[in-house]
Amino acid sequence: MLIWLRIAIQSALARRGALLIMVLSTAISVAILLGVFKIRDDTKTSFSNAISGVDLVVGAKGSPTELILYSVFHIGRASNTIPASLEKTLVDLRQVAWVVPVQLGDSYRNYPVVGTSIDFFKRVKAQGRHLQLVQGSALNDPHLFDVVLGHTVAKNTQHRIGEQIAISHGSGSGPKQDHSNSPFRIIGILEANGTPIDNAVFISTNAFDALHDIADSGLQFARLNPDSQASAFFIGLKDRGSVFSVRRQIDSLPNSLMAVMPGVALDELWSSMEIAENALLLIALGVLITTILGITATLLVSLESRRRELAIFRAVGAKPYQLLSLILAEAFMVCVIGILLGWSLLQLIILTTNDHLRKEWGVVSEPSLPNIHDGLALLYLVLVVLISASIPAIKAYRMALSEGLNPPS
Amino acid sequence: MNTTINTLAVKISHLQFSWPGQTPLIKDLSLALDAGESLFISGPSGCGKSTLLNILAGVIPVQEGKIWIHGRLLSELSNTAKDQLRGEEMGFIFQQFNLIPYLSVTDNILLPTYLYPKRLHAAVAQHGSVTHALQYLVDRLGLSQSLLQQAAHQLSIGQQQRVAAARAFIGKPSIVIADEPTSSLDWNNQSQLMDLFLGLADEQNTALMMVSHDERLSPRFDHTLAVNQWATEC
Repeated sequence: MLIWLRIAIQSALARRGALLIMVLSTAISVAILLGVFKIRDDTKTSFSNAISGVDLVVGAKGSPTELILYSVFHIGRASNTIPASLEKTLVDLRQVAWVVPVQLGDSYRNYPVVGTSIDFFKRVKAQGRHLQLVQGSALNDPHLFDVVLGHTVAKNTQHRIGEQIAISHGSGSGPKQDHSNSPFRIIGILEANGTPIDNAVFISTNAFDALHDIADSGLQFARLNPDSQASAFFIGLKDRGSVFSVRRQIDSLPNSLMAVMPGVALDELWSSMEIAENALLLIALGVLITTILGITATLLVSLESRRRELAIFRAVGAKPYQLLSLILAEAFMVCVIGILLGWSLLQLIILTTNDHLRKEWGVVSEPSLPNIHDGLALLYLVLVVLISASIPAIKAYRMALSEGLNPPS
Repeated sequence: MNTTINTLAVKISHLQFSWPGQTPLIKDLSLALDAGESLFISGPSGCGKSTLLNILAGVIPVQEGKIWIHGRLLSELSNTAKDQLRGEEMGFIFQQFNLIPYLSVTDNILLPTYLYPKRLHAAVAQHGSVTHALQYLVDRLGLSQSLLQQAAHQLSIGQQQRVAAARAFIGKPSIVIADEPTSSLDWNNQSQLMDLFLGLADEQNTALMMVSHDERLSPRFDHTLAVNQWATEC
């Protein structure tokens, strides 16, 4: 057996140029294949982690998906608002640790304005990490017209700390009212985290209310509306095990409220994007088939140059299975080295681009060992390559001896 | 009858062969070759010389008649048994491209001993060790010991044919089949190499069957077979 291994290695070394191309082609295909799987998994995870640290999102009764879309992704608008005073009711629930209000509906240069409390910056996480400021500080006085910009907003508007901006009442294509006579002062800029937070502008709930209670001389906290409305509340629990119990309690409150577990709702939202996921899988399948065909074709081509070699082996009494093993061992070696190289290549790409991926695309990707699905896909790849390689192997066995005794002229 | 066959390296009895839809290529061929004897097969191309070698090697099945190699009836052997018979009892020297190009001269020569313990044991029994067997054959065939670790593709044609001969003869096979092994060499080298082949066959008590166009070589052989003795169309 060892002699065949030695022969296989020497044979491979003798054709190292062709085999190197085969290994590289396999490595690139494997990197693409695992990359597609990784993108799919990490995108899904990142999507689910667009907001984390929040156990429940509370809004007016309606569609849970819509509630998540507007409160987390700032897409669409709330069909109904809820009284801001409910914050106290929610905080009073025994298992609730904290409540953060979210007010939406206004904008700055088409970026959504989020009215919230100081706690938003302490409690809410994006991609599993606490919000970080690259410059300045978070909202710290609810009675000031301060504003914190998301990373993308700051980058695209080129605003700096201390500059003043005028927020508009209203959003989208509807009528807006510009409060240029009551400017907000930029006090902080958030670090990029790849979530909708990057595209938002944060002000205090008091300031948000002031936007809706306008005096000719500008915004005034003194004229705040006592019936202030919130779009949603983010809730954190003391014990996550009590999430169902708290949800039931909130659902049974007399204010037509609805509590949604964001993870579940985001998963449901993701499943509605099955087409995109299937498209990725289809690409992966295409890559897999191309890889297999490539290896088989290269083996067939290399077989032509090995006809004499195999014929000589048979002439000296090598058994068919030994020749089959020789070719299959080579295919196996190429495949395994290609897989290892492809996986390493992917890890290197992830390692060098993960910061960019997180900040620009919102996809958190870290180098990792192949998971069970990757492992299965790679196992299928090896098996199918071995089956495909057996075609040239059987061909080699059949032709070998007669070729040896009848050398081409 | 069986006792007689067992002492023979090759016995062919009333062999007949034809390709589908064609007139017989080989008709009623019978011959017997004892251990250590040599046979020269001559004749023009396309008259069935290579077909005969293929039948003897077990590549083409026997249609009619019988062939015994080292006392074993070829038509009764399975493909695996034919592989084993070829590995243990037969050596081949082709016209060209005889060697595995990336293997060293040593590995090329010792290949049959790697695959078949019988060849290994025979080489050891004959020379004390496989290394001695290797060195003896290399010396006997006029090759330099310094070539042993060289890759086969680095050798000249003449050196390659000598290495192929060493591989064919190592481990004392019953029969060596040579298909125009010297045709790519000039007459002096042909003649010299032929003497070496015949000398080795004689020393090892190995039967040698050689196909060649060159009739000048035939007087050195114990037996001569011209294709017109058995080929109907030549």
